[in-house]
Amino acid sequence: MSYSLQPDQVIGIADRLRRALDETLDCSDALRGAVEALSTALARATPARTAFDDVAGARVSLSHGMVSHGRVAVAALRAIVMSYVTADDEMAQTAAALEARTRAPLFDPSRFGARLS
Amino acid sequence: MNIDIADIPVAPADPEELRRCAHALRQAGAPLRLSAENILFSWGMLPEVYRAPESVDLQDSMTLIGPAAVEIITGIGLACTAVEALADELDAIDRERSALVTRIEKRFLPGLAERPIPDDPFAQRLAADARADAEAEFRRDCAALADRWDAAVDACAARLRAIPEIPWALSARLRVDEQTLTAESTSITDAAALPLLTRLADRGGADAARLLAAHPEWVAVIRRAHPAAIAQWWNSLPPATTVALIAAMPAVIGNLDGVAIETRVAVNRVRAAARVEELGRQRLEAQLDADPLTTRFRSPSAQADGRLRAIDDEIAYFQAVQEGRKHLYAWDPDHGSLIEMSGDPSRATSALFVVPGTNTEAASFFGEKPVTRFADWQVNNARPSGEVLAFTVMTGPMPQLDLTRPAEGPQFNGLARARGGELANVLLGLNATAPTLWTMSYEHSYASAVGSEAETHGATFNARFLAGGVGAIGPYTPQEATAYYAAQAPDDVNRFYAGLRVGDIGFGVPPESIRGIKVVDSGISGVHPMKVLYNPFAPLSLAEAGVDHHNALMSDDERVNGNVLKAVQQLLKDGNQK
Repeated sequence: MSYSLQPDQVIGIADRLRRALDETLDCSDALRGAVEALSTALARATPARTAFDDVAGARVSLSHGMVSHGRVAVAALRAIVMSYVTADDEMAQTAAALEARTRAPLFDPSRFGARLS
Repeated sequence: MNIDIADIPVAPADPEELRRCAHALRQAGAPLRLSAENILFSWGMLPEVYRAPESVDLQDSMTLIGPAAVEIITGIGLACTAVEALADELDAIDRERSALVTRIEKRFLPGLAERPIPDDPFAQRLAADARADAEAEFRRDCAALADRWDAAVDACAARLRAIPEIPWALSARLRVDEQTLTAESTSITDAAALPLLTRLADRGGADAARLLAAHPEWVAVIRRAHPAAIAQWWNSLPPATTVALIAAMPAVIGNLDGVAIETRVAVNRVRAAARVEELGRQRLEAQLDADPLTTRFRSPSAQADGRLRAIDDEIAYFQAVQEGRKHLYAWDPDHGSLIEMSGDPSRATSALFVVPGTNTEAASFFGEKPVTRFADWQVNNARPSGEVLAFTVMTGPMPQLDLTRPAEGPQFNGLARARGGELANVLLGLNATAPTLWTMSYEHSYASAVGSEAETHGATFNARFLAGGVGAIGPYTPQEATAYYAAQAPDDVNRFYAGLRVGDIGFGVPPESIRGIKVVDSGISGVHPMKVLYNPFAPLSLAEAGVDHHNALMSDDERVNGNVLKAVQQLLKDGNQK
């Protein structure tokens, strides 16, 4: 498989995803608040409350799980982005040497620009 | 046991409260679907820009988000339905309870139709038996009522338990990790840009030109950073480093939101001088192309004359910038942006962003009737004098009414989305470098959708004025901290289609529908477009007048656009005093 990365686009997508997950977390917290309010309203209807807590609580957890899972993916993207922006000349030369040995292009010059000479 | 109404069992929950909470829960769950779609839409763009052996796993990792959102909303909806059914049941039983209460009140309340009991033992015994029977009946009624309450609650519990469990594949893979959930969410754009900026500034900026030549893609990464982060970085640099960076990358610094106004204007003045030289060479080439006596001749006369006139207008413009008669706040010909500034930033207390709409291009700023006239009028007529700083803003390509380029027409809302983020950055850049300025936008036509979109990227103007605006793409929520104004002629051409949207075409929220917006009388007369549409005998000139009246809102002629010019002048004056 060829390797290519459009850094500014990946960064844009990662940050957009980060913000979307922040919004989702806000939604999940609001959902939890609404579930707690309804559970309180059912306080004296114990069997219904217990069943409701089971059903709704699991959904609240799932919504938080969505955010957790998404944030792990964002963290992976962030790591990729940070490896790119912190890559120094030495790394570029190492990659160039590896590429010369394997004859497999690691960098797409049209995306990364010309390598330092 | 005495017969006491207080002993009658009450409902185990307030039905109205249950309905209210269930409604609130449904509303709280609904946005999750939109959030999930937003996540998946963002994620769906990744394969286009990132290809690597490990990227496939990464890209596939979000496939469960959509089904999870559906599972949550469906489950919550079913739970709400069960609770609402309980509320209905409780209401029905409560009516039975009310009937029992009424019956008891009628029969046993003291002083109410009670007969005196004779004093003999037999009568006493009969009365006691009757009382015992009544008490037994009361107990049975209470017990029946309690059973009914319990049955309703149990039925609700059964309905809730019948809701299918979350599939294991979802619950197992989307487990909550508290640490991830509570971790602070920090900007990735800033995290990516700041190391690059630091590297450019290393060794006093000596390597900046070489690094940018080797990594031209860095510029796009840097421009994604928040202007406040840029401002913090720029202000922390030693003066010698800023000078070196300006020399090494003037086009970057001259367009970088977060760099001080005066610095950008000065840098762009130098860039304008280089542009004048370049245009001089282009003019010579164009002259050769147009001269039939040379071997280079290849342009028909009219075409060549038009080309030469365009170059002359551009030369005149950039000479004015070079000589300091005009001020360029941003100019990136590769991207298609140009922002001209009028006024004195050292004296101003408010900033006006004039954003022209359809058909705006770089050439709109050149020539004898530039698009900056509205902004210039406001600066020249500011009260008190000198307190207004104005920017005429084109952050990138705007839609064009050009039959040869139908895909770039103003009916499409995609350019509004693209320009919205850029306009937000312009405002945020000014907020970062001149935080005390009161800010207002004057958005003409298509640009009103750009302004509405900018708000979704963190822009908050103190006031927005939508002039002959299309409004917003929609859905749209106005900002609490912003005052909204609108003006248009009754026959403004935008009235034909504002408020109509299907996907990427059109704009769903007309200005007048924005909550709290104040409509300013434009003072421009005209016939409402609907009267033209439904009148086959209406002259075509009425429709043409709609276009003229639409364009008049960018005029600096007080006879044509006096009401709006003065309304904006007054708003800026009031803003200055806040």
